[in-house]
Amino acid sequence: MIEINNLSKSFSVQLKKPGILGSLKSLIKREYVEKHALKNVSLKIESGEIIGLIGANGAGKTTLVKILSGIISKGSGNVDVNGFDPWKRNHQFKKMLSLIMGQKAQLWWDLPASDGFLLLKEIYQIPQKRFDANIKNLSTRLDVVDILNTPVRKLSLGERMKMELIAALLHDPKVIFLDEPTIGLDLSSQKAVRNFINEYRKERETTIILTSHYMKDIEQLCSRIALMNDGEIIYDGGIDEIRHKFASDSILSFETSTSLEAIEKLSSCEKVTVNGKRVEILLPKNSVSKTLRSLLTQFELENINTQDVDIETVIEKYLLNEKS
Amino acid sequence: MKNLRIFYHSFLIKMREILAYRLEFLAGFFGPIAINTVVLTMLWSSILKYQGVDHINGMSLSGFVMYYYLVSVGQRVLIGAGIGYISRDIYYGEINKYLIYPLNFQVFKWGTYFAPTVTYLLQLLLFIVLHKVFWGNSIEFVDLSQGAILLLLGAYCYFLIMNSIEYLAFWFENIWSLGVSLRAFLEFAGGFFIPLSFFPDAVQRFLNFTPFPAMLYRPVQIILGNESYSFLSCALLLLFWILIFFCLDRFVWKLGRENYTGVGI
Repeated sequence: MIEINNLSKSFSVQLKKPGILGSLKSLIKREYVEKHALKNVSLKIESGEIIGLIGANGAGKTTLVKILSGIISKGSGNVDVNGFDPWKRNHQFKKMLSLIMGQKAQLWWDLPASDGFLLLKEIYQIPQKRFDANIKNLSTRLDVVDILNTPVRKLSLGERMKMELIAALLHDPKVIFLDEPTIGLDLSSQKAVRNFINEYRKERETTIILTSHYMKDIEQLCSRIALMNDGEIIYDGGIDEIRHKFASDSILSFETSTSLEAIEKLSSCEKVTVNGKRVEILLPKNSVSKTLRSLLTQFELENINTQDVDIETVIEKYLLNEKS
Repeated sequence: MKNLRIFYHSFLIKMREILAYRLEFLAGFFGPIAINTVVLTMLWSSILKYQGVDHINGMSLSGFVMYYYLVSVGQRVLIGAGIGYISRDIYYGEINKYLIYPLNFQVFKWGTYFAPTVTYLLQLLLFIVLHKVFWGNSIEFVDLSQGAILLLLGAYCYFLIMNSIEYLAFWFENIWSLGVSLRAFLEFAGGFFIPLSFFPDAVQRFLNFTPFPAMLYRPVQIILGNESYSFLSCALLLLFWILIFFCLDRFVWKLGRENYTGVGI
């Protein structure tokens, strides 16, 4: 279980004015600003749970992950990860932990992934039998058996991510921090990685903390989210609850040759987007039928469709609501 | 025992990386040493010619060739992984992966540093043995072994000094120039450009208060059979400096770790 109580963390960040004068001035006198990366964060994650940490860039997600994994020290407050204080960096603690950062690699660029795995076997002191079984199991499921001996630099981004996943899971971690695991991947690779993580968690009951900007990752992997904004957790709860609470809008879409101005005149529309003949209107759920009736009486419409707004829009709306 | 295994496996993976590119390996293995030796020997050849003498300070042209070969390869043995092997990790945030591994970071890095050190040391041993077999030289096996041991101790000492500089990246992010300055001082004080015996006595006395002559100049003199230098005193001196810089290494590492924020990386 992971328990965080009133965790705060601040950094000094250097400021520099643009231009050569700013550079010269900063040589003599540096200006720093105190950045409060985390403010009284409290969170409880049960063993085997998967939680999505979401928020804009600079919201404090990665700082929280770094503190939980013992990479950086906490400022104030208490952190307990499966009975360990991460900052004490006990080797037993490190052995039950794994961190996958989509933008950072732990494998050796110029060598085949299998060489990197051998090194990890020694670092985590994985018995040979377990190591062989894990390599076989993970590489088969991720469909990378044939490229285990190919230098990492010659692999595609998706293949590299799969190898990183194997590297991170070789020692059977109990807690996994996944920081943007699908960043930069094409759609099919994203799907493959997501499916794998989902299956792996179900089998092993591993605790997973996922940070991602891809809402598909969050939607498909997490049932609970912690929404972070400016160093604070502003929402902690079910993904369906937030959708239910804030998804008060629907998207009405259709094809028409009518001009955009005429449609925009409908006062209940929040946002109208046009893609060729296809028009999408964002409007309150309770006014869909009324608006549609009104549109049908005035214009000729084809291929009419209504759908709920996606989770990304819901969260955007939640954040805007919080700010105002 | 675990540290030894980590050292061995980090050494092995670095060796595999060094050997990954054939041309790069061969060019790096021979190129800089050959160029240094040729350029510095040509310089002394011109000086000898201009002065109209065969010897300077007891060194003939062939003596200069052997000396510059030994200091060039010795310097490579000492500088191992070069500059930036830790500071680059800190700068780009790659250090995060090492911080979550259950291992001793310094042992791991020493393994990766030691790999290039060993390749150059092998070159040195191979060259001297082949040179003795085909052209004959007065280098004794005992002297060569003692010099090689001292170079290894020197490499570890230099690694510890360099580490303390590399860790400064925890505060200053980019420390490349400090690394270059340390290397330049090693080259000056280790007799890389000019043999230390050519320096005034006062300068030599001053340099003896630093660990650098014991890292490079003295091991080379011992290999060349210069009896003014004792293996034991040089080894003890290096062990003393290793102890000092080991403590400094751990102290700066501890402070740096506490200061690390990894903002934006």
